[in-house]
Amino acid sequence: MSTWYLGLQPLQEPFDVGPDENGRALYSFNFLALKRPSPTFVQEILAVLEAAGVGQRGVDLFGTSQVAVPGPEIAGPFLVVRSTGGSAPLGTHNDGSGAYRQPSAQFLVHGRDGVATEVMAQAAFSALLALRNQAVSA
Amino acid sequence: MARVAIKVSIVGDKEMLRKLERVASDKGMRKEARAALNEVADPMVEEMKADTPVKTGRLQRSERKRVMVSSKKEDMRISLIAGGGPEDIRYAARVHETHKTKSKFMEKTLLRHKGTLGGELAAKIDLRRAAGA
Repeated sequence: MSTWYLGLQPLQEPFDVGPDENGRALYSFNFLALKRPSPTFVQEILAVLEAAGVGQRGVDLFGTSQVAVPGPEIAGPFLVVRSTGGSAPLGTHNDGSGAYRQPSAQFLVHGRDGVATEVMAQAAFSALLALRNQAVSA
Repeated sequence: MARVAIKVSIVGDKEMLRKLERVASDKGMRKEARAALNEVADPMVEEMKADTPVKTGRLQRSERKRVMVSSKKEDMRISLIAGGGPEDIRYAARVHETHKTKSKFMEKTLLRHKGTLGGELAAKIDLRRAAGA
């Protein structure tokens, strides 16, 4: 099943949050999506990142609802996507009040190598910016 | 790293966009618009403070707003600010992005108001009063 995405709006550029709880570099950024309803938002986002060559699901791309985040022994870089709520749905005359959904997601990129971590964060950011008027399958 | 920055764009209805075009080019209008922005932003700051995780209260005390109406282009902004300030709070971004409560106090406030901000603002800008009629 595929879901139509009108686009993803970045809420800021990737930025350095400071070290995570295991002393790894940590970059964060957030996006607000505008899309048709679907039950697999995080998996769709992971599929976009995977298709863009940012990483591989279960290896260095994770959705927190599906997989445990790698522990301190993993150097990374790896990316974790978390659904963070978003804004209220938008309605249309034909499709009713929930025609378009606006979920938001947080992207956290962890890694021991600060440069590689930032590069991965920027690659993910660019891949998501490019998503516009496109069907995405989880 | 002291501050958190989040940008949310608003696609306004036709009435709001028409008002904004008039506001940008006139000093009296800009004053009226600034007052309207302040009126709309004050409750947002209160909501942000209510959602902020509190340990010492310093981060919450640092939270404030800034409004801007540009005279050169059709640009009106509400900035919600956390961190910095007289106490030089440097951990606002860390708390916002990684705190165990996942409160994301600033982002949630902005996204909650995103859909209605344009209408609220348009309702508060009294064009006749701004024009001195």
